[in-house]
Amino acid sequence: MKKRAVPLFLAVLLFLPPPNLLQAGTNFAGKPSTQEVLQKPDKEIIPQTTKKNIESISDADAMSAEIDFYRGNYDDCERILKGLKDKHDRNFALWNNELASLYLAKGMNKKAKESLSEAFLLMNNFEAFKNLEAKALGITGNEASKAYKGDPYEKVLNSLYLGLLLIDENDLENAAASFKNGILCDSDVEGDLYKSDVAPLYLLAARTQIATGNQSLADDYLKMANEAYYLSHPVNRQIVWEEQILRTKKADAEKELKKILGEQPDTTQDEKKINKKNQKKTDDLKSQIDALENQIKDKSAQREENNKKIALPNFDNFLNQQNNVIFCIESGKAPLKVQVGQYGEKAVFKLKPYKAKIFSVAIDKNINIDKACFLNNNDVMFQAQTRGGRKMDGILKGRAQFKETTAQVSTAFIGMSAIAATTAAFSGGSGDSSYAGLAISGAFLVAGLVMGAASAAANPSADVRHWSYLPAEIQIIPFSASSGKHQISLISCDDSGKELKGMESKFDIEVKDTGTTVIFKRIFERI
Amino acid sequence: MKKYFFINVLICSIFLSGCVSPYVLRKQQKTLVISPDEGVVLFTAEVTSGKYRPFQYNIQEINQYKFYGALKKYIIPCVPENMTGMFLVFGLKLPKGTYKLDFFSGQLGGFFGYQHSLAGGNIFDVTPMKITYAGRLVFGWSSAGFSQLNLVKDEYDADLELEKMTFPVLQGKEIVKDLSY
Repeated sequence: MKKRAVPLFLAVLLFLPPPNLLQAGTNFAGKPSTQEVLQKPDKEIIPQTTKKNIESISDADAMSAEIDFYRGNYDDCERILKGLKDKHDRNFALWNNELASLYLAKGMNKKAKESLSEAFLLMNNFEAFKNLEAKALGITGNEASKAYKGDPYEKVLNSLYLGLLLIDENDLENAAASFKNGILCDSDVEGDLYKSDVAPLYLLAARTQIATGNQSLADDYLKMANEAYYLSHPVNRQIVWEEQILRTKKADAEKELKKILGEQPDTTQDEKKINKKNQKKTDDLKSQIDALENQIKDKSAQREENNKKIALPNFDNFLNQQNNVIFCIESGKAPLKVQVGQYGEKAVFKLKPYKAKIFSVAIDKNINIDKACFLNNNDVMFQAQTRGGRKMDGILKGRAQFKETTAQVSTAFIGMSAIAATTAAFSGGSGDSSYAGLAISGAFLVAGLVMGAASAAANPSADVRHWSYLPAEIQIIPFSASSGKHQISLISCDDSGKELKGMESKFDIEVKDTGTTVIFKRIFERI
Repeated sequence: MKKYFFINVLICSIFLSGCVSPYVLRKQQKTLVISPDEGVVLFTAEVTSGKYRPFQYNIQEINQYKFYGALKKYIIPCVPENMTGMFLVFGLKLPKGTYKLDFFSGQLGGFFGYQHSLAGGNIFDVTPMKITYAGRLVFGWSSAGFSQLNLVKDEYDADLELEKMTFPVLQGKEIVKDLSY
């Protein structure tokens, strides 16, 4: 009996769920899987202050800062973000972007510009934190351990905000450079049609060029602004999306065709056979490309037809330097980037619905701003979703496959080890054969554990850090006002034009004597 | 005898511990105290096919500032007392933050049925010191099998009645709408 006790114990041990399952099971009773202390229900709780010293602030507090931001607890949010920024860690650009959004909501343009500038330098520096990027590429590396430099849409918005704030400071040359950078970042996406679809960037770039006396460049930007507005207009989005898929398919087919044609051997008999095989493939690809070409033409024609239905805002208002105020209304909450997939290897965006879509703006109670002056449809979700695939997505997919395969092999080895141990326990043979069985079981167990360790070490989860303080949409309104103090009345309406009760606001603005005054107003839908 | 007692205690602690969760509101609950770092979220689920009986659902914390492995995962049992006909009524008290309703696990069919998981993906916010209504999830039978969980309906008035009936502690409390997405 004693002889069987050891393999029997081993067999029982091996039939228990693997450690990762046990770990998940620990919170079956609702207990947290990570360290935390929670109150039992129905127990009187004395509210405790959650304020921490700046030195003890860590990344774990960043979510608390985000909640504070959306709840309007700006001081608490600022304290945490400043503490995080002072660490000068890999998320330096993220903390700065978030601080900038906070300062904009507080109406502190100068501080927002400083934070955006610091983020801008890091987000557009390819060499910064290079060592972290190399580490993240390994099979055991974690993408989130890289330095945050933002997706193309985040870079675009950083440049847009920075450019606007530089206009506010009358630093037109740097503003122009910032818009140009934004335009370059916008083109850093996979799909051709999404390469230049941020109309405000082109319009503001055109405005700064006119202010600096460069009319021909301004005309070029204006032309691009028209195109970008049509491409990104909600009426066209479905067709643009379908057309982009066709274009990508066509590009892939052309690539394959080029590869085959490039590999065509010259003379010998065997090679002729290959040529025959290739000939069929080549013909198929050529007809596929022709068909795709026709479909693309159809979609382009549909897009052109749709463009006729779109009423362009009066772009002249943007270019007119007499319009010395640029008023930006930020509404909604930024798209949320979340991990999906078995190992969180994919990142998707989710948008929290928001009501305030249409606005009425009046200056000094009686001057209503014409809605034709509003530049709208600048929704962040559209920009975030059209960034295209990344090279890192392929790496993460590979890692997820590796993790799954090694986990399966590990489970199989551990299962075989259990069977070997059970067989040894109940074989009824001599002590030697029992121990031989145990040795085989041990070997399987070691192999299983090695594979399990390899599986556990692989880290396929996607990096979902994102500028979550951004609004869902930005509407830009240029207008003219005399220098000095003015009162703005803002009424928010839903997409049917119905006024949203409790969301109207009145606030004072100070228009500068010279240059352009840029005003930001964030609309929060707090519960 | 002592040995068997120990084994029984061990088995019971493993299998019966899921019956109570500090996050789930209970019918017999007399008071509801929400600390500044937590909130209550209410939602219902409509099962349009009687063949499916969910027994637990998984919720995952959404926090971009944490590594994926460090995100909290909660397995919440579906308490039979919270089931009214085709409706499942949920009330959860959770730490403030954003969460994803990951999936439901349940049994499809009667006694000889099999386990079936319904993938979700709905996001909801837990607002500190607030009781929020996150909507009604609808899942039912279709020719392609069970539909996904991401259909959310706003049935504020009807669902609040159900919630208050299931959790009397909610009577007289302010409940605000903050639908999942």
